[in-house]
Amino acid sequence: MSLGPPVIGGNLVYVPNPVHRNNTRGKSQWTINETQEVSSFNYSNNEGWIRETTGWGLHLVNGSPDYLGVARDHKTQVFVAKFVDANKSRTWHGYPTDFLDRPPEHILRGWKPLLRTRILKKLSLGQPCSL
Amino acid sequence: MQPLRLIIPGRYWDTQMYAGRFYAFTIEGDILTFNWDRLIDHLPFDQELRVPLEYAFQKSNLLYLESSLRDPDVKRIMFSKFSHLAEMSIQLNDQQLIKASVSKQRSPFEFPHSDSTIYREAIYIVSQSGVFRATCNKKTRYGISTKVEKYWDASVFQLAASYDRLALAAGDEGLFELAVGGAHILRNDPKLIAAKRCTSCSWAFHSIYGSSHESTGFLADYDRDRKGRSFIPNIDEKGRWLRKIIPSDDIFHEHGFSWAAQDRICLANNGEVKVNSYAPFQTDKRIESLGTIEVLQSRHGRVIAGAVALFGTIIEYENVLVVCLSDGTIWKTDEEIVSWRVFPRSRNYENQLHIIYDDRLEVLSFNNDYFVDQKRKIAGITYINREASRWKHQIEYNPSASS
Repeated sequence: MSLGPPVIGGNLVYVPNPVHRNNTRGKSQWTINETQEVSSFNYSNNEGWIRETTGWGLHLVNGSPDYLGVARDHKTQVFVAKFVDANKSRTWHGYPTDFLDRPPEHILRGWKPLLRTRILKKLSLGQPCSL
Repeated sequence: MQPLRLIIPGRYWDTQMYAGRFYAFTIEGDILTFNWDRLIDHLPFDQELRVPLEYAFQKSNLLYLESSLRDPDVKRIMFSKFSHLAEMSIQLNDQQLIKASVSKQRSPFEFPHSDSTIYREAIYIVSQSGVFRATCNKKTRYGISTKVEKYWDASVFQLAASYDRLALAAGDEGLFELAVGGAHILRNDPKLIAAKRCTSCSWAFHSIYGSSHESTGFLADYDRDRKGRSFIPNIDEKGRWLRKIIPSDDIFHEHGFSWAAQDRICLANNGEVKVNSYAPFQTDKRIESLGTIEVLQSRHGRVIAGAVALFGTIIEYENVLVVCLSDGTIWKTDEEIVSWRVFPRSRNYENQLHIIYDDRLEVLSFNNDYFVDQKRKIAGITYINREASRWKHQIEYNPSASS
């Protein structure tokens, strides 16, 4: 499997993973372009939403979150991205994720000004939600 | 019959109601504690509406015990008074809230918690950081004690309390039970009940139902020997022991989001809610189909959550909260909600539905169920006179109790 070209996001390396763009079955897919994917990672890094080997992100359009991909069923729109440094090598990749992955409490606190209370509540309960 | 509505402006995250106190968790991380009885007693209503108001918001259980309701004239009068009250939604102003205020405090729990419950004078909060407890027994300086104990480290989605235990929905880790009763009970590590994905849970008598969006729901089907025969392996001090885990597929023979409470097990799918009865006190025919309720889901979106109360079955869809009332009618919200809560195991607030909207919270009181034949209803738990059944049990096992 070949990964795309490395991209520098802040002081970290971000490498988009092609399986989240090539319709691989069972893998969530980005619907935003690669530049927007990297921007989302950079924004998360700047906001302190990246910690140790896991990070969480949103795709902001005019300051408001928008959908950034589809879930593993390739149908359900999702608006949360998860970033991982799987090998602890400071080389990151990310993918769109759904309600089954609960963003941690410090992330939800950081997202309080960006998300409506209804969305925050659903994320904290691990319930399906849409924007 | 439409519900009575009491509106409290503001931005809230969660609510609780327990022993005459109303707790509102604000989005800013404060907890407002109100003296609920004082708040209701001071509402400016005529004397002729005082009695139904009291039943509606303070003593929901009493009307079930009221034998005069069997008189058609009394029934007609009460029905008309509830209907009259329902026409006026009550918006509380700052002055009314201040008068009933007990305390305002910073929440001792980190925002945002996932779920809460109050049981035996203590509030239990669950979140990704674990399970926490604080006293709320009217003896502390604030509504909720600032002294918080951590009971468990695991990430928990939702909880439900009964039989001196917390049922804990711990996501992929499964469904757990944690003993939390009185001082006589040794607190051990939580016990794994089912290693199946579980993101919400509820008690069905002494059994527990685990729900999940990703996989099927399941019933942790318990038996209970009130005589406490100790030769049964793995029996707990309440006389409960686990018979088996029954997946929802074996209960309904179809997929969908499922949930339960007391004698009802429900599954929502394709715009319908299938309702089964559950009788864990019987040896055979413990689960039987009762029927199907049409909800017409087409534009409601995915099923998010469900619950059962005496007044009906509640289903949260992505775009609407639907209550299938025990009288056969359907009530819906007409705007997006943040969250909601019912109190099916409460004694005085079992007819309440709390709904949090973006800019307010509403305490709804449903009073349809007093006028419904409990033996024939489909939606909603069957009313049982708990005091009478406890007394009957005492006489059964301890004849001297009757003297």
